[in-house]
Amino acid sequence: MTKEEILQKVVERIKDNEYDHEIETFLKRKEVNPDEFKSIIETARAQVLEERLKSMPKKNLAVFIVLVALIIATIYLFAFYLPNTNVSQNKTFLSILGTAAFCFVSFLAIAYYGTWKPEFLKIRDKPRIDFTLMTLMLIPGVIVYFIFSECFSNGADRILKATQVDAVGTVVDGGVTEVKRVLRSGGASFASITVEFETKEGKTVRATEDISSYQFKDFYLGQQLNIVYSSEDPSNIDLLIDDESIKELKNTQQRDFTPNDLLTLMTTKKENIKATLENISFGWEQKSDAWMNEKNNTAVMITDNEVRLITTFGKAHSYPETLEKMGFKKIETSKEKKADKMEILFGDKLYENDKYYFQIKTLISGGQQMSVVLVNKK
Amino acid sequence: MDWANLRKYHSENLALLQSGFTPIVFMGDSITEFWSNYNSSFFTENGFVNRGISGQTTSQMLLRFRQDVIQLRPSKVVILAGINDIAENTGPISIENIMGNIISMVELAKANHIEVVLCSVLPANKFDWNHKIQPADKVLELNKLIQKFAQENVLNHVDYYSNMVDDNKGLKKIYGDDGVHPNKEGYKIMEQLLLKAIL
Repeated sequence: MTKEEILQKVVERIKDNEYDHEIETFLKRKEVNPDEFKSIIETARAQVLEERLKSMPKKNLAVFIVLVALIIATIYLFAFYLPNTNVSQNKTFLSILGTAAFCFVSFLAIAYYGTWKPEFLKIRDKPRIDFTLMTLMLIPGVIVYFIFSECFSNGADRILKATQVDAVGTVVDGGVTEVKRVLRSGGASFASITVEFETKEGKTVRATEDISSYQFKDFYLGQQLNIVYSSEDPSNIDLLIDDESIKELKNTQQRDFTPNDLLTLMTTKKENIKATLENISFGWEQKSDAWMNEKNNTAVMITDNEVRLITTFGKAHSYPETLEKMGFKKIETSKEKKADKMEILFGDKLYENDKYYFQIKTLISGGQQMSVVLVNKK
Repeated sequence: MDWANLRKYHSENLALLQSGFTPIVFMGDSITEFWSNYNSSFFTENGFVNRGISGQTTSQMLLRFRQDVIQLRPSKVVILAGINDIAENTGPISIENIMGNIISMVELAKANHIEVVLCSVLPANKFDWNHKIQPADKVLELNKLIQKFAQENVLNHVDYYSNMVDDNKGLKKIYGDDGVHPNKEGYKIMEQLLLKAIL
């Protein structure tokens, strides 16, 4: 072989991504003087680099850009687009699929990063992809899975909030899954219950909802629960069993009444009373002339001149202090037994400003200490 | 009807259990419940959890003792109870039976390896919501039984009464405005006495 032919062979071997020691073995076989190895390889590399620099930087950069675009597309698809469609029943499968796609494309993108630089092209034209290194994506994969899963849950919650319909569901099934401890940190348990309910259209639907394993013991077969379902996807439900879900779904503050709320109710139009009450807490029902909230042990009666709140003692305990801060003055009830039309009993507290009286009574009813707060126009 | 008001702390108990935190639980009535309104940091900074429900008698507390104390797996429970029994909030009850309910709570706690801090009932010589009752001597009588039981059973005992009583066996005006419930100053002295006893 001539020197030129040997050089061409070395060029081909470099193009085949052979390592230097492999090329040196080849040169030894061709009985080339070992002192010339370095210069032959260097010359061949210079030739290869010249050729690669003509096309590969653009090509590798294009591949890298496509891969980055695919990562962005995957994130958009699984974190933004799909979660806002009615796919709540497949959220685990889709989260796994999204994670797999993300990990695969990210792995390729990392492999292609920098492959358009001369330093890389000097050695090889394309990255050597070793798929066993995909295991390095395990930890990011777990994180991405939880992110996608959270996005699907949030998306389902958003859809549910926008398209919610109230219903009463019956508990028909449920269970707790124990995951035995694998790591030293201990095991975990997951619980869910299945409820059956009828949609407004008369269709019977069974849907399963995850709950905390601590809550599980509070449910029993046949139990009736207030739920909401999505009119677009009735399998997307939520249980109205705690303040957090009620706050989230019903746009209510789930808080106690304040003296200001009672003053607001004095001037609220009849048709807006329910909305005003629901803004404070969820679950009001009108029974004759009273609004009742069984869950909160609270009742409100509103007439033209009076608002009467009946609630547990603790909820009105801070009223005297609040009223004084609002500029109301305490009337000494021991000295003045009657203030205008109001009868004051022992232990009642009476406050006034230029427009209103506030009277706070404490009484015991059914073993509960209750407060009755009356607001009267002067 | 949820006579013992098990619903009140239901969600908070679940959240606490999930957190895995080992608290010191305060079991009581309005005097305990309103404590957090006056000084919530006293609870959060010391790992205390308030399970007071206003108006409750010892019979109601005993019913919810499992849910609101035992199931939370606390290291200690601070029991301050009895004033609403004297006010007959759930009907007439003898001092011996009030003490019986308190002893039952203590025994439940001990059986579940929970250290008990037993507090004396705060002084009161009138109730705004039941003026027919003359509570002053009944409070004294109950406190004697509480102290005796605590001594005999080597329990931590916190004597709020002697530190807060006035000449008429009522709550000193500087410690409470309505004669039953402490104000900020009242809770301040209770905090000092309690911390000395339990920490």
